[in-house]
Amino acid sequence: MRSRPTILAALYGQSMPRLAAFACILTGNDARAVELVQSATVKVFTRSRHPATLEQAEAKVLAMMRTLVIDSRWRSSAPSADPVAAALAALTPHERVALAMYYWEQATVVEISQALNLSEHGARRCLDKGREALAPLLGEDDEPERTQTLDVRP
Amino acid sequence: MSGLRSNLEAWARERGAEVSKQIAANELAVRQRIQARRRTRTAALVTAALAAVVGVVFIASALQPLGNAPAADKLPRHLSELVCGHAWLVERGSTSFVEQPDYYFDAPQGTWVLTGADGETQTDFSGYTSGEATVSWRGEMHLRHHAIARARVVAVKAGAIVGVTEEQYARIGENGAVTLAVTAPVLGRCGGAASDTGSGDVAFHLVIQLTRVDDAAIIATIVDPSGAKAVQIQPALP
Repeated sequence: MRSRPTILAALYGQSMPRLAAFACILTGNDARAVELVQSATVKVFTRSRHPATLEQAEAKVLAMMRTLVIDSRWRSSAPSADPVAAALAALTPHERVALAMYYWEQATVVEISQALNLSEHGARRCLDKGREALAPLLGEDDEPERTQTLDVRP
Repeated sequence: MSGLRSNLEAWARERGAEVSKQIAANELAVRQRIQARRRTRTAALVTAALAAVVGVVFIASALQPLGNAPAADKLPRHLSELVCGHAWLVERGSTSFVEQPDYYFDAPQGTWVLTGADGETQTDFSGYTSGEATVSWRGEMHLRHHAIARARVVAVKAGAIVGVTEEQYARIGENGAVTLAVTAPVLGRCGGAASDTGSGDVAFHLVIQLTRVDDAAIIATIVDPSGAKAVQIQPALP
C-alpha cells in the first residue's frame, strides 16, 4: 500500500485534469469545479481508510464529487459566459450527475439509477433532460443507449 | 461516437485543463486542510473513546460494582444491599437506628458449625471439601417487644461477595429467646448465576438485622457477633 501523501501527490500529478473535467460537467462553473474537486479530495483523504492506489483514489474522489453534487450543496451556480457551462448550470444536480456519469464515466442507465437512487425511468429522464439542454450546443446523441459499461477511459 | 458525447468530452477536457491548473495552485492549501481535518478527527475520536471508556466504567460501577468497586463499606442499612460482586469492606460491629436498641434485644450468642455429610458437627474447623460439608452459624438471641431478627450469611472471597444466603428470620411474641441457624451459601452460584468456582480461601460473615413488627422500622444491624469464619475449601473430588 502506498502512503497517503504519495497517492495524493500522484492524484495531483496524473489525475487532476480528468477530475477537473468531470467536475466541470457536474457544476457548469469553473470556480465551483475547483471547489468541488478540492472538497472531495479533502473528504476522501481525511478518512481513516484512505485509498491504497491511485486508481482507488481517483474513483473515490469521483464518487465523492457525485455525492456532494447530489447533496444539493452545489445546486446553484453563478451564470457563465460559456453557453455549455450555462446550460449545465441550469440543469438540476441529478441531471448533471446523470450526464457526467453517462458521457464521462461511461456508466449505464442502471448504474446511474443506482447512484442517484432513482428508478431506471427516473434516471433516463434525467439523462434525456440533460441531452435536450446540450443538444443545441453540442449536437445530438445518435448512439444507441448503452446497457453495459464500456471499458474505455477518457 | 456520437456528436454529443465527443463534443461534451472535448469541452470538459478543455475546461478541465484550465480548472486543474487552479486546483494544482491550491495543492498546498488542500494538503493543509487534510492535515487539519485529520488532526481534528483524531482528537474527536480520542475524546469519544475516552468518553466511552469513562461512560462504560461509570455504568459498570453503577450497575454491578466488582472487585474494589465501592459497595458495603459500612454496615448495610438493609440486608438486600448485600449483593454478589460487591466488595466486602464491612467490619465487625453493630449499628443502631433507634434510641436504646437494647430495649428490643440482647446481643446474640453463637458460633460457626461445620456439618459433615454424615451429619457430624464440629465447631473447630478450618476447611472442608466442597460439596461434602455445610457451614452454618447457630446461636440464639433474646428479643423483646415484638422485634424480629433477620439474618444472612455472606461468603467473601478476595474481598468480594461471592455468595449470600436468603434471609432467614426468627421472632417470638412479646419476649423470649429465639434460635438462629443460618446456613452459609453454597459457593458456585450467586443470585441464580454461576459466580465462583466453589473452592479456595473464603470468609463467612453473619449479618443480623432487627426490625420492629409494628412499623417494620430497622432497629439495628449486627455484623459478625462471634467473628467471621475463614475456611479453606478444597475443590470437589472428581
